[in-house]
Amino acid sequence: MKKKYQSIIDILFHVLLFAGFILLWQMLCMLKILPEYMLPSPLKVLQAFINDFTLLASHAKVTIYETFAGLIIGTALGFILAVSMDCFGWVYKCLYPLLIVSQTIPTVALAPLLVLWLGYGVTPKITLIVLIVFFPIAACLIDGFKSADKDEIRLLETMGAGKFQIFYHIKLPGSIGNFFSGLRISVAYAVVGAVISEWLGGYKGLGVYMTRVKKSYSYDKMFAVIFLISLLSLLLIKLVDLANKAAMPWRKEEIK
Amino acid sequence: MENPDVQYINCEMQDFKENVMKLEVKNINAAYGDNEVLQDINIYMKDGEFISLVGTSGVGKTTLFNIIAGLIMPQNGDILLDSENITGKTGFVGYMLQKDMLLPYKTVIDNIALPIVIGKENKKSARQKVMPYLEEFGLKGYEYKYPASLSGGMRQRAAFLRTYMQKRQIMLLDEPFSAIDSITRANLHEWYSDIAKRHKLSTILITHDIEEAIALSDRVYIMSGRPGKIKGEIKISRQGNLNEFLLSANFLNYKRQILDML
Repeated sequence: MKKKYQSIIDILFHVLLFAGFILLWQMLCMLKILPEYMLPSPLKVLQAFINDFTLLASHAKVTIYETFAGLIIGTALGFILAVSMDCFGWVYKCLYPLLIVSQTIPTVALAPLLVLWLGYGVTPKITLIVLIVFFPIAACLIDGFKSADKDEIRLLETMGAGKFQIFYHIKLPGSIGNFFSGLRISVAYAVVGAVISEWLGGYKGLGVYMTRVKKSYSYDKMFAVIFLISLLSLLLIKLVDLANKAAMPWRKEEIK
Repeated sequence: MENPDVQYINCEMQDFKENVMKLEVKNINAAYGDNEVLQDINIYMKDGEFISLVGTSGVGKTTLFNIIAGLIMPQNGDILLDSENITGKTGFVGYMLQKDMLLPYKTVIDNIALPIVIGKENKKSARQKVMPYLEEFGLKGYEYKYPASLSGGMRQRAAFLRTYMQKRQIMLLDEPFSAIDSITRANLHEWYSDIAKRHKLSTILITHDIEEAIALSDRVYIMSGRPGKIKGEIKISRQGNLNEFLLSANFLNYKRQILDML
C-alpha cells in the first residue's frame, strides 16, 4: 500500500515537472522574450498539431509502417545471427569483429547511399532501420547466450540433454532479459532512423513532412511533428516494457 | 528327499547375489593437463547403500562425481554400474549440486518435470508424472509458483524431487545441504534418509561436513591429498533415531577416527 502511494507521488511529480516546463515556455513566448518565428508557443504548436492532424496522421502511418517492418526484419536477422554465432564457433570468430567494425560506420552517413541505391520508396528506409536494429539485438542476445550458467548446462547434460535442448531450456529463456534490453535500444533508434532516411528523400513519412514545413518556415508545425515523433518513440518503448513484463512472469515473484 | 548340498549351493548363490556391487569405481586416475587430480581411486557401493566422500575442498571430489556421471573421461580406470562399463556415458546417475539449480523462469512443477521433458516426453504427461510426488516432498500448493517465492528448504526439496524424477538407480549429491541453515539442514537430513530408505535409493554424498557424513551414511570414504586419494573407509553402524545417535559416544568415536585420517 505504501509502495503504491509512493508511485502515485512519483507520477504526480513527473507530471507537475512537465507542466511547469510547458508553462515556463508559454510565459517566455507571451512575454515576447523570444520572437515567435524562432520559438512558437506551446499553444501555437498544439493548434498546428490539431489543424494538420489528418495530414500528420497519414505521414505518421508510413513512418510507423517502416519502423515496424524494419524492427521485425532487423530483430529476426539479429536473432538468427546471434543463434548461429552461438552454435558455430567459426561464425562467431569470423563475424563478431566484422560486426563491431560495422558499428563504427555512422548509419546516418549510409542513408544517402541507400537512397541512391534503392530509390525514394520505403525500401531504403526499412533497410536503414534493419541496419540500426539488428546490432543491439544480436550483441545483447549473444551476451545472454554466452553468460548461460555452466552448472545449469552441466545439470542438463547429466539428464542426457542434447545441444538443442540446452539451448531451448537454458540459453533461450535465460536471454529474454538481454533480448528486451537490446530491443529497447533498437526501438528508440528505429523511429529516429526512419525519420532521418525520410529527410534524405522520399514521398511520404514524418521526415518528408518535416523537410516540407521547414522549407515553408512553419516552425509551429515543425515542433508539432517533433513532439509526435518523440511521442511515438515513447509509446514504442512502453510497448516493449509491457511485452518484457509479460514475457518474464517470474520476475513479479522475485520482487516480492 | 532333500539334498542338503543343493540347499547349500542355493544359499551361496543368494549370498553372491546380495554381494553384487551396484556401482564400482575402479582405479580411476584423472588430470587437468599436467595437474594430477585423482590417483587410483577405488570405491564400491551396494544396492540401496548410502555412502559419503569426505575431504577438504580441492581434493577432487567433484571431479570424481563428474567422472561417475560421465561428464569427464578419466585418464584410466573404469566405472561399472551393475557390472556394465559406463565410463564416459551420461544418463545413468541422478546428479544434484550444492546450488539447487532450479531454473528461475520455470514454475516449480516444470522444473521438476524437466528431466522427463528432456527424455522427449511432452510437458503435460511429464507434469502428470510429477503430481503424485508433490505431497510427499512437501511441495503441494506450490507447483505453479516460481522458485523465487520458495524457501531454501523447499527449493532443495524441489531439486531432490527433480533429481529423483530422473529415475536413476544412483543419486550423486554434491554438498546439497551446505548452503542451508543448520536447523533446516537437520530437518532435511532426516527427511532425506527417510525418502532414501523408502524409495531404495543408492546415494553417494560429497560433503566436507564430517558430522553430516556420519549421520547419513552406511559407509564413509575419506579423501585427502593432492592429487586426491582414498585415505580410508569407515563403516557406520547406527542405532536408534538420528538425534540420539548424534549425541552418542559412538558418534564422537567415528568423528575422531575420520579426523585422524584427514
